[in-house]
Amino acid sequence: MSEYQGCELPEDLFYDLDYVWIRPENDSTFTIGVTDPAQTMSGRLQKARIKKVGTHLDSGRHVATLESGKWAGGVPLPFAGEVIARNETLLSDPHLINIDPYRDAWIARIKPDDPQHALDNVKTGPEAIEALEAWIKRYGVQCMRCSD
Amino acid sequence: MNKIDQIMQQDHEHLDHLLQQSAHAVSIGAWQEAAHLFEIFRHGIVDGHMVVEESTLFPAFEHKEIGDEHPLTALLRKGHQDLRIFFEEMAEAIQDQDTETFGDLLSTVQTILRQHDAMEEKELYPYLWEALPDHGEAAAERILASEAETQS
Repeated sequence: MSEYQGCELPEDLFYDLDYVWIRPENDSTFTIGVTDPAQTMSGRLQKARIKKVGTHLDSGRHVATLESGKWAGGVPLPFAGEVIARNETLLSDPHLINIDPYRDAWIARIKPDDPQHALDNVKTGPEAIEALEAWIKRYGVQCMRCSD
Repeated sequence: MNKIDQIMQQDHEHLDHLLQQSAHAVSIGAWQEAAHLFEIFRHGIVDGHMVVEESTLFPAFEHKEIGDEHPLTALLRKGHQDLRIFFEEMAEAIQDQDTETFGDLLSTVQTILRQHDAMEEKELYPYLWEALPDHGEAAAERILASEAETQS
């Protein structure tokens, strides 16, 4: 696990180099969520809306919208696909994203239209970590772990 | 408050009004009118306001501050990028006559705009008179022309 400015950056995930992480699953689906620096920048989240299961989204469209007292924004999908599961817990407890962004606070699982090319526009490994560190620096983010 | 500062702030109010008009049309099920009003709003904010900011105001501010990308303008540019996607989704919700989705998107967009506009009005606009070689005359004219084009 890499860490920069207190922000956790798991090296085995894929990233859109902005808000989103992507984890390939064994069944050709992908789980997505928001990164530690992104959740930090958003502040304590108070509302999460996630697209319903069965919704088809084009690449770049928002699979979820998140709101805190000081911030609101979307979670864009880096590839076209269908929502096959969403994390219902986040609808009632969006703050979980601030506590455990990479594990319990996954946002949705997506079945891509074209699994072979789903990861064409995302990065992983050292290249991703370097770009995310630049992102953290650009926005002046300092991560702090939430425990409750 | 100097002229460019004042005109940009007034344009925020003008655009908020256009968005409210479109939202009202959605609320009464006047879908054709809502689509028309939303397109006027989208054209004004994306092709007018944001273009002037991204092409003229942000670069002038960056040049004045550090000569490179500044955390403030980086955040504002990112806000524009997110908003453009939300506007497409709102237009689609109107096209689909989907009141619930439009309402959800409207709530998020209004929150984004409130915070985004406040940041610009507090941290960016007051410094433009000094940062722009013509004190913002050309940018102000472009905004006023855009406003005239988008009078609903």
